[in-house]
Amino acid sequence: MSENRGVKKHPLRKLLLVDDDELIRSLMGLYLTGLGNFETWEADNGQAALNLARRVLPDMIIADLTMPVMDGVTMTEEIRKDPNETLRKVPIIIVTGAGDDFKNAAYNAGANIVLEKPLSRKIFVSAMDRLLPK
Amino acid sequence: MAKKKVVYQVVDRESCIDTTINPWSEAANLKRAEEAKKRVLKLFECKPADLVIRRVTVEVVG
Repeated sequence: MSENRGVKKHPLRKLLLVDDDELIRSLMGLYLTGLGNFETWEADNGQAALNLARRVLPDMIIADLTMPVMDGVTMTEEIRKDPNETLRKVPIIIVTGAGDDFKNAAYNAGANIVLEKPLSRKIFVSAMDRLLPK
Repeated sequence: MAKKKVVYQVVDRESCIDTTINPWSEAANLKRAEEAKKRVLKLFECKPADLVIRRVTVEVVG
């Protein structure tokens, strides 16, 4: 791996990937595990992610915005008011192809960063470096 | 005895994602390879020409 592509060296981190598209989750998971010392967990909607996050307590959540059952905005709101303080503070990156209104809603719900698809790898990795617990 | 099988791989020719991880190296039929290429282009900034679908023959043991 070339030096500029990976996130900074870190201990094992748990990442929760949330997207209703299985292939996107799979590609994202393979990409991220190639970048750093990550263990990935996957959920196909916000509700499933919320349930999994309560059990796993991930170090970061990377989620799509538009999903069935529970969207990314509602999931973020639920996480930010969860009784578990560790979960409440988990960094959330929203990755979306949706418009500005949806992006603003994600920020208002408590997302740390909202990135547009298609992703710039440089910006994505930089966001992860900034948000991952040191 | 090894059998020969044709598979399709999405190859990251211009390091659009990262050649070292090559996530599309697993055996796939043409339709799945095309879908994988579409998703990569949807997810990451890269040009369609950076990704090519390669037809390869592999040996399958058993």
